[in-house]
Amino acid sequence: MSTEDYKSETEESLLLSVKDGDRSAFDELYTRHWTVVYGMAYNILRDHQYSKDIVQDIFVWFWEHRGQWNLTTCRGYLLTAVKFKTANFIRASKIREDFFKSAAQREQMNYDQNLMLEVKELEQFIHTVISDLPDRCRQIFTLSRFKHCSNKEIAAELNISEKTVEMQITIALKKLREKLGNGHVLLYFFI
Amino acid sequence: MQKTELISIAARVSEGTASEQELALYLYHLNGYVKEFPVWEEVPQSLQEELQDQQRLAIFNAIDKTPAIQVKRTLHLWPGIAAAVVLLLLGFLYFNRSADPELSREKRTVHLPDIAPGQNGASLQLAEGKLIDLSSVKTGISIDPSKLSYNDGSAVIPHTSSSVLTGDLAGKHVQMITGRGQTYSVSLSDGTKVWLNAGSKLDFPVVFAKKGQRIVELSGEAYFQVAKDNSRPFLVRSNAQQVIVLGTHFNVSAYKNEKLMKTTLLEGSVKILAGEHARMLKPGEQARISDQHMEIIENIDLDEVVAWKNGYFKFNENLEEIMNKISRWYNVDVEYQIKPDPRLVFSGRISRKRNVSGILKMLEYNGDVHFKIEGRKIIVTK
Repeated sequence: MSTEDYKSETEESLLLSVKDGDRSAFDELYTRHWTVVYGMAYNILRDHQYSKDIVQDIFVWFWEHRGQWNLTTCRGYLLTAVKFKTANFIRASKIREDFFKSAAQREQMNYDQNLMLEVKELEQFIHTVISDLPDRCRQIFTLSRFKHCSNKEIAAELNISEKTVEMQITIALKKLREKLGNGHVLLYFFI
Repeated sequence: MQKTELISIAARVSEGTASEQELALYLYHLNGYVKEFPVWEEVPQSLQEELQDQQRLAIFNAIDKTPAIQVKRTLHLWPGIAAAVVLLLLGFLYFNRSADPELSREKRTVHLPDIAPGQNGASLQLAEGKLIDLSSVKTGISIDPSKLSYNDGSAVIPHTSSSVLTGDLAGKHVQMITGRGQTYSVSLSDGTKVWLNAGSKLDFPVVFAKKGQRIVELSGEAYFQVAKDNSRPFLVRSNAQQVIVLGTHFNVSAYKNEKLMKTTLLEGSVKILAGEHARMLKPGEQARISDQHMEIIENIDLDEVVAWKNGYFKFNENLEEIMNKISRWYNVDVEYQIKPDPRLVFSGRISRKRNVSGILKMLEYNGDVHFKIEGRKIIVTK
């Protein structure tokens, strides 16, 4: 198939090809979505260097974890990834001061449907990211972070010691730290 | 919402421990901020494109874990060389080094008088010697014994009665010629489609004979999509080579100033005749002919071979080969103040719509080569 042919391919079939390791299909997806993905990162961070870091991480991650996702469209997914990644920059105050000013002036949030849909997507995305963890580790981490169980409750449920639970969570956080990319930005805030 | 609170929510979002409500708050403020000041829209189109190309290169280099193939292919070419050096053009590293794109843009305008890329265009030489310039707004023409039209249906020479291709057409030949910096396509009377790269010439009959072979002659580079016709094989002649085809997609590069003539098969099957050699090609194979020697290379990167047709350069070759491509597309001469090492292979990919400085910068990032532009001449320096 020539590159020209990829241009007329549907998103769904491109994604299937990417899952098979087809780099030209990946290239076509890059061409289709880069502007919106980068634009989102830049609109949030307003810094080309940070935006490049994030966007590169996302596309590389998307390729390297192609066995893990199952998608028929990917723009929303990539944008969710951007919004997830920017959190770390905000946490580290690597964002313009007017972001906080704008937030301070914003009125009360109302939970509309679109927002809740986005929340679900972000939650799912975070789950994909942690699904790389070893089974036991993931189980414990999920119980702890998403079901809000205490270490004691987890220990009781899985019939293991509290110390093991703590250790597994530490491992999970360490793995996550590696996986979420850009180690240098993430390094110090988990502990 | 206060700054400290927002920061701690963002921290929990990024470590994957935020509650649903916190995620909602986080997204709410993010979306609001983006909606208030969408600054990306103000970034000039040219910078957007530059960033996109930079990142493409960076991302593909990051996921590209197969430099071994490049080494292997290089060894095919020069069997005596034990360790060919493969330089991946990690352009982005250097782009990142000059963190501010505004700055790098400014730097370029100061240092390099730039040269615009090639564009659509060609001329058509008719049998009677008449030369027609083809519109650069169109991308190709269509040959029909009754009418000469652009591929969007408009007439090449408006307001003429039937056609310029009048009279006894049988056996009449036409030549489509692209100069340096031009590219064009043509649909032949049998439905075969041919894309011509810069600095090329295709000679073909207005109508093919009803029997026997369909013969065209090529110098330069072209991509063929041959209409299937088992009773009339399609034959591409270039210099000492002939390609015999039934119906298929392939690319021929036969520039007179290149040592190697390369024919690459994408689909179907073709037979290559050169001197005493004859060989069938399978898809993904490339026949390389120099003097009387023919060599078949397997597992060719097809995307690279047809990159020109799809609007970009994709390199995986030495500097001299790359400079030849640049010379043809940007219509420039190249002068060498150093002798580039032919074993040094550059990899990279960039749009053909960019000015020449973009591509030269990409090459400079390996640190060993520099360029000066003087008028329409590019000087390769240390």
